[in-house]
Amino acid sequence: MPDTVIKITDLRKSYGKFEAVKGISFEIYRGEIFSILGHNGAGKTTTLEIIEGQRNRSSGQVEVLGMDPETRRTEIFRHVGILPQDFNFLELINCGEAIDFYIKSLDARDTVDGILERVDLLDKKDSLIKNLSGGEKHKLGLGLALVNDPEILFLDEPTTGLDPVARRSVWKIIEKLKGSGKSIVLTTHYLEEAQKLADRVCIMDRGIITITATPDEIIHKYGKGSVLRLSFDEDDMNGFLRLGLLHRRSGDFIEMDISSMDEFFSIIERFKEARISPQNLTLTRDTLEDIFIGLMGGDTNEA
Amino acid sequence: MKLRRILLYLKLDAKSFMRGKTGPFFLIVFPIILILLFGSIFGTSGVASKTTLVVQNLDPGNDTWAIVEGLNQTGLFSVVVIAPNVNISTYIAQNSIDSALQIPENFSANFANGVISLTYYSNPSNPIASALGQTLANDIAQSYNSNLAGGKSVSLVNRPVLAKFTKTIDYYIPGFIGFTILSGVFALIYQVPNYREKKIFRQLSFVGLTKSEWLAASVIFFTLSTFLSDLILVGIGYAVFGANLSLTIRSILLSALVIFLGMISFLSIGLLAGLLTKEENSASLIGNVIFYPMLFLSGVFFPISDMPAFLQVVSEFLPLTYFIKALDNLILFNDIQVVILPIIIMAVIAVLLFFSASYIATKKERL
Repeated sequence: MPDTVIKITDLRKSYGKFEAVKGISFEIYRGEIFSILGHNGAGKTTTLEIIEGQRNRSSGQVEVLGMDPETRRTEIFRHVGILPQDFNFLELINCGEAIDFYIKSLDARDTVDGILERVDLLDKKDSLIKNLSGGEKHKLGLGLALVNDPEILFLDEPTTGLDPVARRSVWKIIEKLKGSGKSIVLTTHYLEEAQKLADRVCIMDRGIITITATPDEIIHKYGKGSVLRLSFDEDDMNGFLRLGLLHRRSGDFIEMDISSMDEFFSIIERFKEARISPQNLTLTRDTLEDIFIGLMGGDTNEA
Repeated sequence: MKLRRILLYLKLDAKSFMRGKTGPFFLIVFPIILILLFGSIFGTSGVASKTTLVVQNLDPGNDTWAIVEGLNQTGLFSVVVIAPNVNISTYIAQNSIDSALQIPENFSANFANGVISLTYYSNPSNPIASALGQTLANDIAQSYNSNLAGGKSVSLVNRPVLAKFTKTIDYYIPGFIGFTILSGVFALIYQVPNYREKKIFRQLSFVGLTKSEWLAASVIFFTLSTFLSDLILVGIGYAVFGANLSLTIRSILLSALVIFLGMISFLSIGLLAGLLTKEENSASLIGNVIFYPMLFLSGVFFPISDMPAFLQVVSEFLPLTYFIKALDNLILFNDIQVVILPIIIMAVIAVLLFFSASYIATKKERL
């Protein structure tokens, strides 16, 4: 039985008559990366802020390492690290000073250089925060969240606004952290990020949880499987049609739904036997993003 | 509240402040500009030798000239006597006179009945000259009373407290200090919406720094920086304009307490106002709405006694009023007895404001 570090039971949060979170329940286990996905306004940041003790709930139960964040917030802060959305700090402080302030305030054992090295920011030790790039700023935020060697890390959109290179650089750090046994709660706009990093994903929609599962389970359950896409010259096309395989046309291309890799190799074998040579062959699989769009009927930018 | 956390943040905040462009300007350069500017206008020399007092004697009796002579003898005024047929109001307007004393035609007759009646003209925008002139006029009248009236008793309300001044600049120094402390309102009124918008309060809370601790660190920092800027201010007052304050160890220590209490009050007001401000842009509007009425109604530059009665009542509710009262009596007159009540009132206001601001700030953050 996995060790539960966060347990949410029938959590509700209302702002006046508007109910932002409508009785959600889930558990997060030690050592896993748990990603919360959803449109803007789905209630994911509110949920995260309640778990972190930043916001009070209307009803329900929240336990973080067995403690209620509403009453034991300060104690919980000793065991968790938080990288908030749009991380900012005093702009005229340098990275080393910011980390040093955190280390001393939290009575942490780590060193300034040690933390900066973990987030690949040692060369920016003396740079003022206002002079950091977006990616460097996110790394510093991550570094500050790591100062107290937390059991749980809350990462609220850690790569939003970063270029692909910077994003991948942050992913590397997160993957390393996962390897060190920390539990990570990740909200993100990038479904590719959730698919790559998360062990389990929870999709929120208008205050309720619609799915909680691993990315593979979600793709398997809600995806259309893989699609083989190819084209033929005129002679081979006639040969292909004689094979009588189920397919559909998509412009100049032929598309075939593939349920397994065995089916894929079997089709390729039949092409060889019929002496036909497919061109521009690609095999694509549904991504979490495809599933999300299908389920939410919206734009992934709002995930 | 944890002192260690407060001190750690204080160090960080001080570094950030000193690296900014505006912080050091307001801490060091602005007080210098302030005192050089005001000192050059009002305080280059002693009040007495500078203040021109126009006197018009309408009483034909010879005895009343003793008043004029008395004023001359003080050596504090430049007495200019104008003829009885000159319209004094026109003369004042045409010659930009700030202080004028008119001895009425029936002065001697009224005096015989035990009534002293003098008309005093003053320019309210020059409180030094007008207040000093009025006080000294009373003195002279009292002297005239003593010398000529024999056993008759004529009471005068004012006592010549302002005559203790040797320089106009002395009168302004408590006001300058009040001004620097009141500026504390602005220190936080901009910072709070900025920090809230950038979620820096939230970031600081991750190390356990509470709003009360943050406010306490701000109070310590701005109190120390105000001491420094006020030290510069007083130093220039002495070095350039020959200020002569009643500074003793006791008055300096009590002044430090007054500045500390003032800082708590005005930073708390700034925090409360900052909480009402949704964005940095509207902060200046709210700041000005608080700053200027308080500046003008608290006796910083204009005596409260010159204000209409209803404004005098309003001034009683302003923390800066007690600050100025306390500081005036401490560094101008070294009058400890008089400052006890204003200090107690300031302490009560400071405690109430500090805890209200901390409570509301904490409550507002977690909804």
